[in-house]
Amino acid sequence: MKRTFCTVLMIGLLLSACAKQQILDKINLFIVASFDEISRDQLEITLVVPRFQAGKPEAVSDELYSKIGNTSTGIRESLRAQMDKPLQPGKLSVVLFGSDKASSGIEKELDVLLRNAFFSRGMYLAVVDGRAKNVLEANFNKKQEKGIFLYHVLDANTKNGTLPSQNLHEFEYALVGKGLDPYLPLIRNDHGRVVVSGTALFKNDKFVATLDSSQSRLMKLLLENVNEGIFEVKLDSGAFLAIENVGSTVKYHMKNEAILISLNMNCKIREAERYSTSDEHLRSLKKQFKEQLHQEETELIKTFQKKAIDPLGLGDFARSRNRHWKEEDWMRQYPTMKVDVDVHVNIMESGIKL
Amino acid sequence: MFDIPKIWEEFRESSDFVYLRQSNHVDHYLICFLKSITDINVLNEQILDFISKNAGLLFDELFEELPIAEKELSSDWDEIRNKLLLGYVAIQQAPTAETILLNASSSKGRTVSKPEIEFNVEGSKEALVESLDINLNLIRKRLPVASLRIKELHVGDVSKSRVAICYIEDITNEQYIQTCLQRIGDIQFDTVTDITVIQQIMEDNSNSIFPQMLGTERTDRIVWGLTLGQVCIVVDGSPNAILGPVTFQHFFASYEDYYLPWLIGSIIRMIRFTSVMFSILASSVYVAVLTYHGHGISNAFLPTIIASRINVPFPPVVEVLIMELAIELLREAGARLPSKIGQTIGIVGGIVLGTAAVQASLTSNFLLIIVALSAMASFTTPVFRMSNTIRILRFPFILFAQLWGLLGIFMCSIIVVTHLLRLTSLGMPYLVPFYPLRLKSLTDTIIRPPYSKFHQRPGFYRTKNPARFDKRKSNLKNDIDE
Repeated sequence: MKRTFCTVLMIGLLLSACAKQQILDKINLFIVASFDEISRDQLEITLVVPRFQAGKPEAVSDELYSKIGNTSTGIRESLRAQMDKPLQPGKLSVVLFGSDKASSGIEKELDVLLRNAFFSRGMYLAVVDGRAKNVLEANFNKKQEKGIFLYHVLDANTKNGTLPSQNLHEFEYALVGKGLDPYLPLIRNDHGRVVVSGTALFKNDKFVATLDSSQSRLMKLLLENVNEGIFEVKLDSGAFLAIENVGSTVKYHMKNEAILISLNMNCKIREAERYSTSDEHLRSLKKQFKEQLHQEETELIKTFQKKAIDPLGLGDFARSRNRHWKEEDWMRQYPTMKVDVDVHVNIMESGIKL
Repeated sequence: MFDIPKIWEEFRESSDFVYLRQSNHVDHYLICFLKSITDINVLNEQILDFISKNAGLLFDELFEELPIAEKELSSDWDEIRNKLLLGYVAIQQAPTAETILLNASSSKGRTVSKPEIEFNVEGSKEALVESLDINLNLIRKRLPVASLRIKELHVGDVSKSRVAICYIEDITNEQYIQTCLQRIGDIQFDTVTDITVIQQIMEDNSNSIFPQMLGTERTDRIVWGLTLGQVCIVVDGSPNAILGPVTFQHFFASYEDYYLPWLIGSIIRMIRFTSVMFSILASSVYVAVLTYHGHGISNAFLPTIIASRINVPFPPVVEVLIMELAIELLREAGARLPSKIGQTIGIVGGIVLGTAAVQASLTSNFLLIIVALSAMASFTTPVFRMSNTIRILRFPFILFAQLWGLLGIFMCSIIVVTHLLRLTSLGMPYLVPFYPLRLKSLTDTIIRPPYSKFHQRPGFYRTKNPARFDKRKSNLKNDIDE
């Protein structure tokens, strides 16, 4: 008994040296990092290290550390030389890629993120229109730490906004998985403000096309069940109406070699200035909205097909219905494939005003 | 006349020993007693008065006619000596070898008062006192059944404390009764001043920090335990009784739970369980997260935690130990001082020291809240010994958290749970009905069920009669017309 106890104690005391202590306030954290391409095999990494003030959680200032080098881990090592405390990467929540970097492929950088268990799979990735460092240099928020602010911007826009959800884990799935292509949110620096401007579409790990924010919203409708979003309908009379989506469901069907996407949407009229919302008018409005939605969605899918990218994961869906599915065959027939969108719109209410 | 017999010699050294020669012109008696424990009124008004008025009685006749309820005629010197020490009056007449022993003992002590440790708002306000006779009276008054047995033993070579073992004959399992009787009979200790002495000696594992017998001062709790099949042990001189066998969850059930409506009682009991977990784990999780797992803190929390800690020069473990020690100091100081000064200590320690420590950057605000909360949470444990256990249990967890982070906390939990699994209370597994799992006995554990669900005594007591009442007739609320 005594011997077992002593052995356990000894093992305990000896092993305890193996665990590496990283006391939270004695390390440098960074919540956001950016990657920019300098030349063919050189990249620039920028880290934003928050500086906290004692007793004032709201007064956070940021320090930018930037370095050019060949590999991201090498750059991180040389950044350490400038810092007063050891660098701890575990808190990284947002990674920005400059558009040049994204266009030439981000697989190498992703490998770093995916290989290390310190990095959260829930972190957000985004593509910056232009240089990513410019966004981080901008003084876009005085109240919050830049990384936390960017995280909240991306979080709010994917959870309750126009962006289809995409974090590191989902991006990896789309990248590695067969029959689907990844996409990322696209942000830009608009006169010192960070704006989410749309979606960046990827072909494998390369950024190839962009969607604006209304197209992103349409894409989100086809990707997941959504319960928010405002759609503007242009009437024949030239007037605009705002319709709010209260709940839409999307379902894919496979019929022969064609794919049918059925989209059901419940909505409310939010804004209808000088437009009568009697039953008769509503019926024509519903028809118009339905047609508009159908046309826009079909166009969106056409663009995808034309560029031979598949962010919707139609190939992935087809693979689940066909055990003899082959990627090469699919890619050959995808651009010319028949994809129908079947839209149902249900206007639930038009407000309390006639 | 005769001299004082040699047998009294050893008492003559004590100044409270009285020997007087009493005569009524015919007979001469020698009366001995210890005035410190003898009721002088009984002696004067009944014994001496009777002797002086009844001259010419034979010694046997005197014994029979003395108007005292407890009397004995004895010639055994050991017995005479022991009875004298209990407050008896010894009467001897020179020619006879026999001694009359009359009980005139006076006992001075507290009267029955309110429970102070297991205080409650609802329910009876009756607590045990130091006198065994009063305590047994309180218990028997609540259980007017012939099968309530009280077995009295004497423990301790010097103190000769009276120990009473109470149980209900047709409910309690024979094994538990015999275990109690045997263990108490085997106790080798000279002075038993309190029930806790017996508790520590007779527990299955005397080296465990977990209590294996439930100490209580509430008579209603004792009666509840007895009717469920527990054995109750009461000692003269202690205002507490112990109940056994018990299981782990009994220590977190306040008796007031049974007086509140079952839903409210259950919720309060669950809050108590959570607070115990919080109290044990909170500060160790703080150490683990701040030392090893900083990346696990959400972005929303990060600025608050770092900003409150950034000027603290110590690593988290030192910070936590300082604060925990401060709380323990406050607690000890408060417990050792009279209650009025205790309040001042609370204010000085809690408010002045707390704020000053934060301002001096010796600790973070965040930790102050955690430590204060966990100290408060540990007070919710209704049984004092268990709340002490929880107070101590925090420290190994903090140590393990410092060594291996969250992994260490899990390792420490495993050690604690393994220990709990090995514990028994009078031979009954300590973690029953959770392990070994007894589904039917789970009713009164985390939730306090309504009374209609109490139709069976918990199976783990192995009672002679498991049924408490007819289940089918419970909860009938018929209309008076039916």
